[in-house]
Order: sequence, then structure tokens, then C-alpha cells
Amino acid sequence: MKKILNDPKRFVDEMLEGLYAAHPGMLGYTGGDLRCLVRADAPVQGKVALATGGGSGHLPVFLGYVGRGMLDGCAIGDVFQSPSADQMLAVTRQIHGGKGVLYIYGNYGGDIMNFDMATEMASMEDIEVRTVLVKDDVASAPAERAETRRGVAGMVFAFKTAGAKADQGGSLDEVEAVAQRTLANTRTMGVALGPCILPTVGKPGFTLGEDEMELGMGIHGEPGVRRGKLETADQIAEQILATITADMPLNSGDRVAVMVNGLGATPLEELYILYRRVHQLLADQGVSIHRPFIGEFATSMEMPGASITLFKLDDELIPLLDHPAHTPFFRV
Amino acid sequence: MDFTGTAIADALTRAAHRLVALRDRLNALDAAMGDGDSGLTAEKGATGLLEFLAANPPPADLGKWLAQAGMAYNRAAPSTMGALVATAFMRAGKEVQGKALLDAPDLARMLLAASQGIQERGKAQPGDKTILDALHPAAEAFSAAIAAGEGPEVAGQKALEAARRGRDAAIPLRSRVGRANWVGERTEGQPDPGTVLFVAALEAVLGAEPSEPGSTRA
Repeated sequence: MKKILNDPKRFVDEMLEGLYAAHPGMLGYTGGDLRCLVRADAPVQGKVALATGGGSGHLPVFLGYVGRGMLDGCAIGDVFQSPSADQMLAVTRQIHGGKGVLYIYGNYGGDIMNFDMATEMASMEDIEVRTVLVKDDVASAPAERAETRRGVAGMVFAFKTAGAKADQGGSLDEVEAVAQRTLANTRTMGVALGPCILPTVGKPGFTLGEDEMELGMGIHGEPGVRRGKLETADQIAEQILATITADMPLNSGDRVAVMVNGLGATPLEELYILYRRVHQLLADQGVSIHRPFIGEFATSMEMPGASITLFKLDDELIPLLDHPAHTPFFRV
Repeated sequence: MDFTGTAIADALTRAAHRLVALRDRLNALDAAMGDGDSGLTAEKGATGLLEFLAANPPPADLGKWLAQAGMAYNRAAPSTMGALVATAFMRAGKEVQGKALLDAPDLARMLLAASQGIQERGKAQPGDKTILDALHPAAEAFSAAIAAGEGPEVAGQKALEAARRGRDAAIPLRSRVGRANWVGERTEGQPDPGTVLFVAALEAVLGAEPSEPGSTRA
């Protein structure tokens, strides 16, 4: 393992100390726990509050989207580990502005168990909490088992549109509906060229040959759909787009947002090479790209690879995507 | 007959002490089928519960207090079992939110809600070789006895008999959920640590003598 570290056990907390030092006006934490991150101005009275949470190791997911126009709070776990129900509850209490709280997070068992417990505790304190699970990874299960799919980079679009709806004064019902509709129109698929290393483990959890790639691998290294020889950027883009559009058909005239996301160790240049082909393929189908997002949005430590997300838009979702947002990692 | 918050706190304190004492036994059982730490987890959780009970005497709203007690258990022992115990407390507490005194029908509803909560959160059913194999029949037996007009002492004894039988009936089964599922047939013939934990806690609550797993089998 070769990482810039002081102490593997303090990886998460020292990252957070740096983050709070860098963004004092934007972020704070509640209950004396660095891992209970909230907007510095929380609670925003009269606004539906949004929260997420999950393991560390995915920056900017999850905490990087806390800020005006997006999320109000985030509970942070160890690398690839769920935060505790207590931490989620502490965040929920601190961000609740009187109009309820919406949780948006990825479909992972440990997170669900803890968020559900936080929800039950909050309801005993008369805080209404709703949940929208992110299940955008088309490679993680076939369409007939879409309910079991994992949540990956597409969650950023739900943070964005639901956060905008809440910022505009939407009710809990409305904000929840926007998150659901966004995710119903969002699909992601990734490709990994190598493993990542957990700081406390110190070695890779799996290996990929020097000339291999794995299509559809999850952001914690979950097995994908196919392992094979490394292909060209164009071939990768073609296969990912074919899988996504088989699951979510696009027609000529459709408008989409596209995210080409680096998993941690892939240069921006390579992401633009991928985007080039995505753009061509969509243009050939008569699909227009309302807004491209190219960079790192949801990573997996130092994993080389990328994911592509398509978000099919409509007249209601476009202004929500374009609504101003200001967080440490994301601005519109 | 009503139970005060103090009586409930005393019963939970007895149960927690019993779990602490059960650490090595649970570890040994778990080593045969899981990762061998369920005794340690139970000890940590029970210690967290004892600390909570010492610092938080029962208030006028026992429901919220019970939910917080469950969260204290989970905080001290973050784990699947911790989450399930916390859920059981939370659901039981929800049944009596706002109440300062609990009667026997309250206790029946609390047990059933705890069982239901663990089924939902753990995605398990009775027969999967989990804590539910003892808790679920105990909850049903207690409710049936109360519904039939028995007092809480008789209902408690019936619940304990049902829990012990459930624990022992699960011994030959194969684990179907959780980590023990990974070792499959190796779990056959082994008592499930979750059922042993629940029976021991219930014995402590009722002031009954500890029983050996398998003791109800002919």
C-alpha cells in the first residue's frame, strides 16, 4: 500500500478535519461528532431537509453534496462501512427545519438497517422522515430484479433535483416525488481497470490482470457482469450505452444529462475520451445533451476506471437541474 | 396488575447482567457457526444497556425510554445483532409510547411487536435458526395466555416454556440467514446463539433458573 497517510485508523477523521478547516462557512458538525456533517446554517427553517449517508472512500459522495441547493446533512461511516443509526439520527435532528426530512442513499443492506432505525427513532420525536433509495447501477441486477440494484453515481442527480425542489419551497411529498422521478430516469454503469485498497487493510481485495478490465463492477469492488481483455474507450462507451439504453430506451428528441465519472485513479483526459464517444452515439440517435458532467463525482478510493450515467430530462426536471447549488464539491 | 418503570428497569438490569455472564458461552457457540464474537457483542451491548439504565431512570414516557435503551445497546455493540436488539426495543417502546405504567396486554403487544420488528429488519422468519425461533413462540404463548385470561406470571411461564422449546427445536436446523448461513450444514446440531441469548434474558427477567440448550428435548 502506498498512500499519503498519518495513521490508517484516523483516515476518515483526519480527512474530515481537513474538510472542516477548508470550508468553515459552509460545513459544520453536530453533537461533537465529526462524522455528523451538516450545513453550517442548519437547520433551515421552513425547508424540507435532505440527508444522505454511507461509507467513506467515495468522495465527493456522500458528504461533498451538502450545501445550499442540495443536501442539508450527511452521516459518515468508516471506509465502505455504514454510519450508525445514532449518527443518522443526530444529523436528522440538527437539519430538521419543521417540514420533514428526506433520506436519499444507496441501496446497501447496512445503510438501510441503520437509516431505518434512525427513521423510527425520529418518528418517536415527531420528525417525519421519508426515504428514497438509489438503485441506478444497471449492471448490478437485470431489469426484472431492478429493485435489488445498487446505488452509485446517479444519486448525485437525485441530490441535485430534490435539493433544488426543497430550496424552492417544495413540500416533503413534492421533494420525494422529484427524487423518485429523477431516479426512475437515471441509469449508471461502470468499468474497473483495477482494485482499490482500504487504508486499514493495506492490500487490494481482488486483482485484475495487467491487460484486463471488468465491466459493471460495483464501487466497493462487487463483481461486475463481465471480465475480459481491456478494450478501447470507444468500445467501452458503446457497451455501457447499449446496456443503459436497453434498460431505459431513448428516442430521437429526448434530452439527457450525462455524467462521465472517474472512479479515483483515472485522468480527466480519459474521461473526455469516453465522453467524446458518448456524445457521438447520443447525437446519432438524435438525443441532445442538456448538460454534461465530467470529472470525479463518486469514486472508489484509488480505483482506476469510470462510470457513465444518463439522466433523461423533462420540462420539470431541467430547471431543477439548472437551479443554483453551492457545495464544497459541486456548483451550478 | 401494572408494572412500573422501576420494575421494567430492574428486569432489564437482571437480563443485562445475565448476558454479561454468558459471554464465553455465547462465544463458544458462535465459534462453531459464525465468527465467534457474539458473546463479546452481547457483553458490550448489555454493558451499554446497564450504563444507560444507571444514568437514565425511567421517566413518565416509558416508550421513548425503551427505544433509547435499545439504541444504547446498539451504540455499545454496533452489529447486526445490536441493530436487531435495538429494533426490538424500539418497536416494543412504540407500543407503549406516552405510558408510565404497563399492564399485561401491553407486555403482550410489546413482545409481538419486537418479534415482528426483528423479522422485518433482519429479513428472517421463525425457522431460519435465529433469535426469532425463541422470541416468536414466546411472544405468541404470552399473548395467548393473556387473551385466555391468565395473569402475567402464568403467561410468563408459558412464554419461557415456549422459548426454551423453540431454542431446542432449532438445534437440528440449518442457519438460513446472516453470517452463519455461509457455513451451512455445519450449523446443524448446534444451538443458535440468538435463541440462547433470548432464553437466558427471559429467564433472568422472570427470575427462573438458567437452563441448558437441548434440555427440553426428550
